[in-house]
Amino acid sequence: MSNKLVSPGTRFRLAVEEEKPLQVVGAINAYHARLADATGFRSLYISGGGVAAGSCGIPDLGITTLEDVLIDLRRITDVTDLPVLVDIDTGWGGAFNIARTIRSMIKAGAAAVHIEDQVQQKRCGHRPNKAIVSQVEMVDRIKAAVDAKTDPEFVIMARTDALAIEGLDAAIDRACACVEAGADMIFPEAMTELAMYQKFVDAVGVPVLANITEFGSTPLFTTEELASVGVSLALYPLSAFRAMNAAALKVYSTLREEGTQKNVVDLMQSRAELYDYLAYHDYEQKLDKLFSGDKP
Amino acid sequence: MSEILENKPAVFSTIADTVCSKLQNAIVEGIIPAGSKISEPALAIEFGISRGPLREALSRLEACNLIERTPNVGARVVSLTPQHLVEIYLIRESLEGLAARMAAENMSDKEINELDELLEKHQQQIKQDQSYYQKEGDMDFHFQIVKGSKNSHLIDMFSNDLYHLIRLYRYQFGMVSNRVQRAFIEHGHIVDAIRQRDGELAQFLMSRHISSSRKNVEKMLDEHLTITD
Repeated sequence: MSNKLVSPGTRFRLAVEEEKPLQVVGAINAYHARLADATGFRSLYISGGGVAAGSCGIPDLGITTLEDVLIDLRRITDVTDLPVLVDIDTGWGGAFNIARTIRSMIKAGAAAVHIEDQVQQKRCGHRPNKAIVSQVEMVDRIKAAVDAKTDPEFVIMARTDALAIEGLDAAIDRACACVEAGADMIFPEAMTELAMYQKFVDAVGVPVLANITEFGSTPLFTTEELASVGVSLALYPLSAFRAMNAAALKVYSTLREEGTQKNVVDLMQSRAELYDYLAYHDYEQKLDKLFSGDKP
Repeated sequence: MSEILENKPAVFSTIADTVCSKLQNAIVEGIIPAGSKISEPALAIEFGISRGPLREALSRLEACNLIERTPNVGARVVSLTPQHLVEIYLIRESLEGLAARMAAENMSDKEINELDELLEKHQQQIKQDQSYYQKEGDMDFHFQIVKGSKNSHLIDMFSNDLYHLIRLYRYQFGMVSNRVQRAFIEHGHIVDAIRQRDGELAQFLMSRHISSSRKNVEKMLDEHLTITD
């Protein structure tokens, strides 16, 4: 939704200031963006792994492209004013590709992106055998992204996957180099202890995000725990997606086995609830108002 | 001046600061029109913030005279009237005349050199594009001299009570175009007087400079009113 007074980037920065830590919740599609908005979340997330799995049905191994993510982003920014943080993986190429990615993200209404230091042929951040580019190359990625901003308040977040490969001190060094190069916020991926966040927070001097994804390397720290070490953003990339997948599977298998969905109807959202979150009746009234004169 | 105008990223300032400065610019540029009603709920949604910091920002806007709040009615952006504009000019004649006199006494040589550099920059801008000068550049000059007075009350009156209001009128009414070149020459004379540490002359030149602008605006308003009558 376009807005004259404040850009999505400004709204994201304000939300980070006001809610500590800001809960950033994954929305797998536009309807879920509406659900999260109605639940009171102040910020949304589009996960690269989510786009790959949810929209394309393929693994998070650097197969999806800029356009795949933009399609999901545009659909979400069309229906909510909540600022959206977008996972842009490695930025999909060299300096000019990264610049184009940033400009496209801003045009499509993103508030913030995170760009990581994995090699192009990337893996999920919580899986073994990740490989990262050199610090110099990562800093170049950040410079290219920062230089491409068409809105000064758009947020470039640097994600580093270095902990698992080079250790904590090297990861913190990288994060500081990224901040020096203009990164607005830091995303240390796959931390294993709460104290690690504290070290990042103390060193980088900009807001730090904690990725609290399930079944990963990071324990499920509470917002209270994260606040106690100065973390500014708490990310839940795929929580609702994982739950909906489990529910879908349950419904599919029950239908197949029992020949009826009667036993799983209680799991389902009702038609009335579905419509409520869509503002269905507002649309219907609009239609009635527009065409009432034409009725025979 | 630049520290006031710069759009610093929000994470480095408080929420109310950010919201206040966004609203100041939106009002000055007419994105939120003069005289229009301010809706707290709509702004809270637009900025995505809660009412507390928003009210704080609105209080600051009220303090710098950009909005007016009436009990039980709510807040409105100030309305622009010719009479109000002339009133502001009259106050400036006196206030900034005093500032120029004190600047001649209190500005360091380095600060006076910076005034020169500012004029040099303005000259380039006038050659290239007058609109910047008309909107903001002229204010840079006046603000530097007020700061140069080193009188904290004077600085406070100018930067809180008048500054954004002057920007608002300047932005939306513009400077009468035939005045731009003349005003620039007068700025040069004022700096010369300050450099010579001639406070009396600096005061006189500054008052006359603002008074000329006022008369020019009055003339323009008269003509405009006559035509539209």
